[in-house]
Amino acid sequence: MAFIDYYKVLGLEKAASQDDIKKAYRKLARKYHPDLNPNDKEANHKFQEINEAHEALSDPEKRKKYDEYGENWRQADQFEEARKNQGTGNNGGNPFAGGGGGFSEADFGGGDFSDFFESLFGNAGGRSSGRRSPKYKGQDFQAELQITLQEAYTTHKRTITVNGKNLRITIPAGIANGQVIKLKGQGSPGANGGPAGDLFLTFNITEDPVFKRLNDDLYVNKDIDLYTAVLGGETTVDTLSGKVKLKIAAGTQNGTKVRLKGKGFPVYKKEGEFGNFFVTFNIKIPTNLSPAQQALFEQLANS
Amino acid sequence: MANLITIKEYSITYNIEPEFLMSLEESGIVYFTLEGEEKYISEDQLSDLERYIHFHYDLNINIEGIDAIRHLLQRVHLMDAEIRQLRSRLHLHE
Repeated sequence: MAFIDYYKVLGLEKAASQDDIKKAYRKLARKYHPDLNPNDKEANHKFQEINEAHEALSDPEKRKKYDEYGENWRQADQFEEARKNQGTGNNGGNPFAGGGGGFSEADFGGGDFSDFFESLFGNAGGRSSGRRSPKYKGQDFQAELQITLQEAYTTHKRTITVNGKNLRITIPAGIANGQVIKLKGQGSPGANGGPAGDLFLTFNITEDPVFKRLNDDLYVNKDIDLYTAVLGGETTVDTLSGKVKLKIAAGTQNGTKVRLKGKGFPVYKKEGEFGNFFVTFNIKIPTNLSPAQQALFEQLANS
Repeated sequence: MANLITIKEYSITYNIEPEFLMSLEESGIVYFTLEGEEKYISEDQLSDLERYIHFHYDLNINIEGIDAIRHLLQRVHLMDAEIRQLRSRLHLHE
């Protein structure tokens, strides 16, 4: 856990006024606010830093404590203890009291503060002012779920843990990479009779080494030998629903693409509907020929 | 009415001026439901509304700015979807 220079985070000098702090915070928050930077984790992280710096410096009591002990935060408690014992504590009350009383956990934005902040001010250090605490509808949650292409192929149930709560969800077959599903009422509880927030679950589908997906279609490359390509024959191709036998026409060219209708990916929420499966043939040219094979190719070439 | 809250009640809860909400409606940014004489906010508007309250009261952005942001965010979402689609297409050729 490292010391965080909150003045530096807000681009301010130590002598900055409350008005300077407010202005600097607003300017930076307008740049990095998560609502203005959707799906940007870096901006989100930066906003948390700005928010935390503002939280620490905009509250005179916290700022005083930070200025006094910030860099020596490890010794802060010992200093205070010694001061109390010597009866030289300041008259303004214990600066370590935190002063966060009266705010519920929901006010803190779900662990948005660094260990440094919590070590100095306690985890109930005060309300989060960067994001207004919900006063009616509960806070919406965002979560990401990583699944494989194979998993996305079939409708299945899964238990996920969001903010310490287990949720059993059904993932419909055909879900797309980046698709967001809203789970109504699974965010934080509402206040003053308001509804609970929602959970927005984003699906990240990992890339498969064999099957490539574009919308509801699947694409694979299949190696075939030169002789089959020239003379025609059969090959077997793996699909996500099992093996399929494929006829190869005589004279098949390298890069030829064939379509298997309805053997692709299931169409989201349309039971029984599937996309197409495309196979691209990659003709392998024989290498390391034996003298006999070499002679035969030469014979072909001269015929 | 379980899923509706009056503008008055909502303004008191959030300690904001009802005029701010009315201006959002006048600008076509949110819509309210009229029941008799009273205007209500429906549940599906609540998340957006809360976001606009952040923008206005915490970040000092005016109604016109909120409207512009809203349009830009819609474009960002469309472009995100397009980038994802292009990445998938590109992946086919890798």
